[in-house]
Amino acid sequence: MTCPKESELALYAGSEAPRRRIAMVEHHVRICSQCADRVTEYGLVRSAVASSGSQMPPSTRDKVRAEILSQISREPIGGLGRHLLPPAFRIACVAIVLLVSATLVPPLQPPRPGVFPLKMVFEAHKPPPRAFVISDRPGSSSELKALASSRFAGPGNFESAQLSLVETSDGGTGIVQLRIPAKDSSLEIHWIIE
Amino acid sequence: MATSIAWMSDRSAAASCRTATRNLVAAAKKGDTTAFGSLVDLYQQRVFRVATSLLGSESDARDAVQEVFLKVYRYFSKFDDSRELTPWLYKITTNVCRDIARSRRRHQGAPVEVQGVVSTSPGPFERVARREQRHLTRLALAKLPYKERAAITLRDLEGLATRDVARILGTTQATVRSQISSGRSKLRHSILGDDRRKP
Repeated sequence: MTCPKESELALYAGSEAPRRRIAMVEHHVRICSQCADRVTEYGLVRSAVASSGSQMPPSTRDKVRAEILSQISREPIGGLGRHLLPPAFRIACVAIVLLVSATLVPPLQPPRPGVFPLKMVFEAHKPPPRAFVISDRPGSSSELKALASSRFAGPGNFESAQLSLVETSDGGTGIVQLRIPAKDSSLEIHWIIE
Repeated sequence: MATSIAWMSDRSAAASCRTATRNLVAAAKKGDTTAFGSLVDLYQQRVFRVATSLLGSESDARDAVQEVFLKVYRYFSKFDDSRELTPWLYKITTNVCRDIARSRRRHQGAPVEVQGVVSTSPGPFERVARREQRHLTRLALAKLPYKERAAITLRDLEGLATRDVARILGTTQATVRSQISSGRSKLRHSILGDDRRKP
């Protein structure tokens, strides 16, 4: 009778052999002493592994425990319960928010003459001057300059920015240039709409 | 009759233990550090045992224990309360140990160190023999590829069913069986030698 494969004997020793093969291996092991010895050896290997586990000495155990608790005390509270909702629910929530935003919020468009964004942030590292439309009504340079001055207001160092009218167009469009001092990392300017 | 009473009392003890663990998990998930400390007390030896078997070094295993419980703390919110904690803990342990083993291999090879083993054997000779056997077994385990080592550790050291081992390692039962048989064969060769050829 042919001996079972080595792998079958290894599994048989740990009762992991496929059910359909167990009876065959069992029968073979009864009549083949070499295979029986091999199964015994695998049994010894299993018990060697089973008894190879070690335990932490109590002093080490206490030290490790203290270290773990000290580390978790430094963890932000948000570490726990950061994601209390199941992932599918969170994804659904984000999708709904995006959908509603897309429906309600009009798409961003570049400012048209006479339509000023309420708030703009200028960054000094971007090359000044920057030009902005300030009026859609015809007017002289001085009128537009006055209009520009009245429409700009800014916190802090806006006063130090150079404001000058550089162009008027007969289509009624005035353009103002802002020179932002290089020392400013950023400058927040609010348009004032009359 | 006596046996059946003992069996029933074992079952009820196991059930109450499960309930107590669930309560601890629930409290720890809400941020109760005392409950988390109790979970550490309950499971750190088990994590250490598996980590020592997977890493072959008790100092690395101590690091692994810390890392495992930190991960448990960080990802507790993702843990499903209706499931048992142990398989999740084993999964984190095998992943953490795999990472440590990888980084150690990258830096310095795979040393196996055995020290400070607590033994409960009665006599000094038996204690020495056991320690020697444990040392040999760990050396042999350390030579196995990580996946085989993990499968053998979970199956033969921790006594988990093949189905559970497959779930923890994220693979199929057939693959686990193959890893176990291959690993056992190599261990037999390392521990007992291969003096006789099987026909």
